[in-house]
Amino acid sequence: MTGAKQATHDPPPGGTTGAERDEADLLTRFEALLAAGESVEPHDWVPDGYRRMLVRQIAQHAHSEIIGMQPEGAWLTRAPTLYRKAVLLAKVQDEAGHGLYLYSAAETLGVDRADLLDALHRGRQHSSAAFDHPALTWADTGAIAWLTDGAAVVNQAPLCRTSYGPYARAMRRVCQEEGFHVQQGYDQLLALSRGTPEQKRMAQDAVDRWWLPAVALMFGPPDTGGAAAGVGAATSRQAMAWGVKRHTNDELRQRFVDLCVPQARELGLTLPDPAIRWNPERGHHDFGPVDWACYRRALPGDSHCARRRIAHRAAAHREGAWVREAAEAYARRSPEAAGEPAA
Amino acid sequence: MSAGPVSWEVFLCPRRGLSHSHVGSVRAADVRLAQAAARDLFARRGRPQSLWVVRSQDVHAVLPDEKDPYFAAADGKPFRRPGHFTALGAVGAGLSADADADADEDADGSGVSDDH
Amino acid sequence: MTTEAATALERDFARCALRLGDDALVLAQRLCTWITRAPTLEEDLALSNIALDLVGHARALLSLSGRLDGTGRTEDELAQLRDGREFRNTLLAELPNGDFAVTIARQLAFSHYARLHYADLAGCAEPELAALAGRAAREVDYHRLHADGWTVRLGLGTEESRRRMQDGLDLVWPYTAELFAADEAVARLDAAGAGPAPARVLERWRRATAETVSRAGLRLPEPGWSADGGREGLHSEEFGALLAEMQSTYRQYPGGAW
Repeated sequence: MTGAKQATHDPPPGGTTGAERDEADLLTRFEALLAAGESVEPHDWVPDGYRRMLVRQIAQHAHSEIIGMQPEGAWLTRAPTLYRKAVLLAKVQDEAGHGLYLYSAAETLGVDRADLLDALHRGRQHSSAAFDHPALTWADTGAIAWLTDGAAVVNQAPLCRTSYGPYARAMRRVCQEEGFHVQQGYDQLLALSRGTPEQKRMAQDAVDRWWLPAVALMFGPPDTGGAAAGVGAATSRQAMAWGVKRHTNDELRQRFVDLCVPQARELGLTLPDPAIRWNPERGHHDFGPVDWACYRRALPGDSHCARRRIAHRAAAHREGAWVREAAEAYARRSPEAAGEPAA
Repeated sequence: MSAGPVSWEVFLCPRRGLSHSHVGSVRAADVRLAQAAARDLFARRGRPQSLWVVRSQDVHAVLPDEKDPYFAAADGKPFRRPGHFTALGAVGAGLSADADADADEDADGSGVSDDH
Repeated sequence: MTTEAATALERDFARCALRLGDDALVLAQRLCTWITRAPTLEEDLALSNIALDLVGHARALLSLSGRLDGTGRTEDELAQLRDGREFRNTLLAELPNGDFAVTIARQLAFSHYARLHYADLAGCAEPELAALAGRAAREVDYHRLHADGWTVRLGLGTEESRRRMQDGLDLVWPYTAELFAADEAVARLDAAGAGPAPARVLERWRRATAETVSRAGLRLPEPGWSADGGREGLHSEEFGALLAEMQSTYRQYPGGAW
């Protein structure tokens, strides 16, 4: 990894010192960096809106990684074979790791992981609503990995080149591992699809339930074309101007559908959208419009399952408080353990 | 709300013969927990040769405001670059001095020393 | 695959591998329920890493056991199709997680034992068991570092953590004796010089764990009552639930491909 030589958790000085300078001049320099395709680094001055957008996006992404551990984590004890148990453990582990990379990237913007977690637990920040669905059968772990992680890869691959350096570097690590998860989910569904009729039914049922969360919620609301685009379009335009995003939600959604259709065929499973068909003129698959009602239901993060996910997370945090306090107390008592030279 | 555990920078040497490079940071209450977190986060795949953690507050970056006075002097001195001079034995061999291609190779210039 | 009956020595090694494999499997199963519930995200990672190592050991050991005992059962047939009475793990491995301190106390006892015993078995007469014991010894040595570190941190941390860690040791320690008990197969292997019994590491285990506990400013409970029965298939009631959960998917789809 390059260029991360400064202490990445230092609160960046931008914003406060900026007040004394000519703001217009700073803005020009910032825009010149973006125009040159250079990466923005923690000590660079950035507009407040850029910082807020990144904090919100990176935190939401980090929260999604750790909340996303729950539906799959619930199946660790019931994995049908020891090989699948090992594979699932490694995957859930990667997700915890992704959460940590991303919280670390968010902290370079002057926020604290503890505060971000607190905001998640209090419902002031949210994870992706894609994970607010229960994992009902073993096949769900395959469907989540194939579809939800598959959507994540499509979404996230361009973020490896996002304008904010620490985020881009975190995303490069995340994407390497995430691509691998998609194959793992595909492999798992393939085994089920080729298994007994009961197993195949289980796989189809899981795909039926996880398709819409992936295609709708992982990409966000429609942001191109027509009046329906609304607020989504304005946010996307700003994110693209700042080089935070590189493609519209709808472009990425299309790319995802185009990838999934042939894979589903190979799997011998159907995607639950009767409108899916190849459109030779566009060179893409048509698919059913994503229903706005689906966002209205999901966005407040207020479903039964969403509440359970947050309660689970908050309880773990609360019940572990005494352990974290003990570690802090021990470090204070023992300077050597805390990494300070012994007196 | 407590500030949470302190931050550590993590440096990994992937194998013998290479220098340590910065791979990211972790938060941990003490040095052993920092090493453990760094191991679980950055060394799950592959088997590194060595792992360092350094308290983030002990990394002292050149201030952004001082970058110009510090580094501007590197500009305008082409004779410091390897491709600037006629290559040895290149006279008459038709080789052109393709300067800038390799000049930037060490742009990453690790600021961290290899020995300890 | 030979159809000849396994030799007596092979059957004893099969039994030895089964005991080790069941401990690893059941302990991993317990640790899995920590994931998403650990005190920090870093510990979610640490405990899942430990569980992952243990699942690896269980897979290798159960496969080996199924080959050596002449039945040809696979790791999954052994893990998913045996009933509770056929499991040979210690009661220690199946102890409910309790709080983080109980889990650390259980890890402390088990990882020190496993490190020493696997290192011994790396020299045993069964080449495959010797090879995998050598690998496992290195992995559980990290588990030991993790357990040692947290025992000391909790012992010297706050009033509350000290109390909880002491309670954890008091709860767990009566279950440790079973780790060192031999059954007939293990006793025969030891007597024949083919594979050292776990009792051979008991003294070293005592010294090593006592050293950590004393660094933590804690004490080990006085030897008194101790639990056993797990190695003979006499498990706790909670074990039935653990097994039912672990085996549910596999048993629900007979003849399934995974």
